[in-house]
Amino acid sequence: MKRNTYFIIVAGIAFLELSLIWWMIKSPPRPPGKEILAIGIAAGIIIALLLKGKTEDLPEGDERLHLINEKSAMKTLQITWILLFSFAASSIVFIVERGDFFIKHFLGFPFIQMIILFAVIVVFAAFRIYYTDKYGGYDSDEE
Amino acid sequence: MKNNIKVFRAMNDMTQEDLANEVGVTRQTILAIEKGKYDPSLSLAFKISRTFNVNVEEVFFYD
Repeated sequence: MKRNTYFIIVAGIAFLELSLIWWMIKSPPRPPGKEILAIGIAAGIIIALLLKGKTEDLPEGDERLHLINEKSAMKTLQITWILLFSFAASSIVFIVERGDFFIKHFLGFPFIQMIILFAVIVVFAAFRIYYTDKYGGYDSDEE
Repeated sequence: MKNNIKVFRAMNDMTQEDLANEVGVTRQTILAIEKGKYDPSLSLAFKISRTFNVNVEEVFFYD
């Protein structure tokens, strides 16, 4: 499996986990809710780890792949900083203006952290696809 | 930067895969270099030219 495909699948798993947590907290607490959440999170992590083992083996010293990873990571870091800053700044404004707005509507900072972590995976996958394309990763040849 | 990798590969009867294995990169990297989408580092450029037993400036040249 290609690395970019793996990151897209992991982003999908992260989205499902996020939805599961959202559903668990928003729905009234019922006995199987916590168990479903625990099993769901564990299953997601196990699937992600199993799929990681099935990704293609690439040479350690391939400088083009290092460059793609470096550039993607750097751009992701920049976007993450902007996301964190935006959330933090808007949280401060809402808390000052409306008190418990975030706790009521966004389940507090831990959930926002989860959203940001999910966004980081999506952004990293997107930049990786962009740079792979830029540095000829999807070209084909007569060979 | 342009290069003659394709010509030298043909002269040495090598596939992209062969050259990639020789210098320790992926075939996609060799393809990207040949197509001018990626400029190799100095060390990779030397490795490639050494594989063909020629000087680096015979394989790579600035256009």
